[in-house]
Amino acid sequence: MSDDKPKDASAADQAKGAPEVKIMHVQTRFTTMTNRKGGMSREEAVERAETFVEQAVEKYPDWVDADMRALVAIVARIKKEGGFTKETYDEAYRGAGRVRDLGGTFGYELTTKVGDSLCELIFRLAEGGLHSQEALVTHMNALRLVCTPQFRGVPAASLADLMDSLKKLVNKYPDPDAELKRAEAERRASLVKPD
Amino acid sequence: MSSKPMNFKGLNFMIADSNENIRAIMQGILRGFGVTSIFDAVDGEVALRDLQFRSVDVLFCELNLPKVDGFSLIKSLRADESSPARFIPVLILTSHTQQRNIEKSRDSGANIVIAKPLSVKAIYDRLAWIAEEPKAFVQTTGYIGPDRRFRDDGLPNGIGRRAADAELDLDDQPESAVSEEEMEKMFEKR
Repeated sequence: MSDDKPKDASAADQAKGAPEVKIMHVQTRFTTMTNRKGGMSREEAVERAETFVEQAVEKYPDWVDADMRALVAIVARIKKEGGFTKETYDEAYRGAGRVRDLGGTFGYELTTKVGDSLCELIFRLAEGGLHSQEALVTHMNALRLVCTPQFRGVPAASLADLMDSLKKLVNKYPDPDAELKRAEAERRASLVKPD
Repeated sequence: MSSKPMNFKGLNFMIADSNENIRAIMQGILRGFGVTSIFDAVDGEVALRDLQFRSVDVLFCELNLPKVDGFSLIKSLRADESSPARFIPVLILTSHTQQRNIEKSRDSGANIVIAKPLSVKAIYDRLAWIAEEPKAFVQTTGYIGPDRRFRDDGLPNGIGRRAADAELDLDDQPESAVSEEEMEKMFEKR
């Protein structure tokens, strides 16, 4: 918003000339307006929003059906092209994420888990320049199974064998983020203050 | 949790997500919170364009946006001194919770990352957190965005890992994406 102007630029830094760090204290409209009187309590706001989500559940079968069809088409294209391109990587990841997110939002825990696993598989394959149609199809079959309405509210633990198989399948391929994760763990460890 | 009422009336929200279903759900959730004005953007290009001429107070943004991705969108927004929306809160809603994406999100100038699937409570609590604990803006040669230095006590008012995230615990998943708790730590002190 136009009235979100910096109120307190770092004068000390500016005085030194060519500051390397500029700190601005900005009063945004968001901060100002959310704190006005007449607001809604957290309890009421959350209840209203959750009621909306619950009512939208009936749309889920149609939505997920459309998303699955699109995902099947992308997986077929990956097969035809013998692997991922930048475009099919983006589309496949986005497509798998769509199914996963919808399922998770509407209480399909298994869809979230299997979709998560498919996202990770796509990530590892595409980033590693690898291709395994078999691994993709296995995940697609699992996803097709668990995104159906009878699996709403079914805990992932009830299909532990399936989840374990998918995990093993994904872990066949190296994690492209392994080094980043190590570095982040070291960074965090370095921040720990001694007692 | 914050017990203080929040008033979203009159504020303009933007949802930048290529998934029309997610946009529809987000619209419903925000309207449940009392939001009265919501703009949609189907890709990063549309979002950037609309942020120039619409009055937007909060941006929800997916990372994997077509045309202009979420990282580039946020960086452009933060770097543009003429943009009326330069300092608005930006919340990333994403499935792309790989380590590299969270690091890039943190460095792009986003206020916070929320992992999809959507959780009503998580969205509300993070909006409340931004409203109640506004951060200064920091501009350096490599970064423009909210101050990323947090205190050690984590998010205020008990906001933390979502209860539902226990189900997403990565212990029984491939060593894959970053959990919400880890994401929050990555947004903490550097």
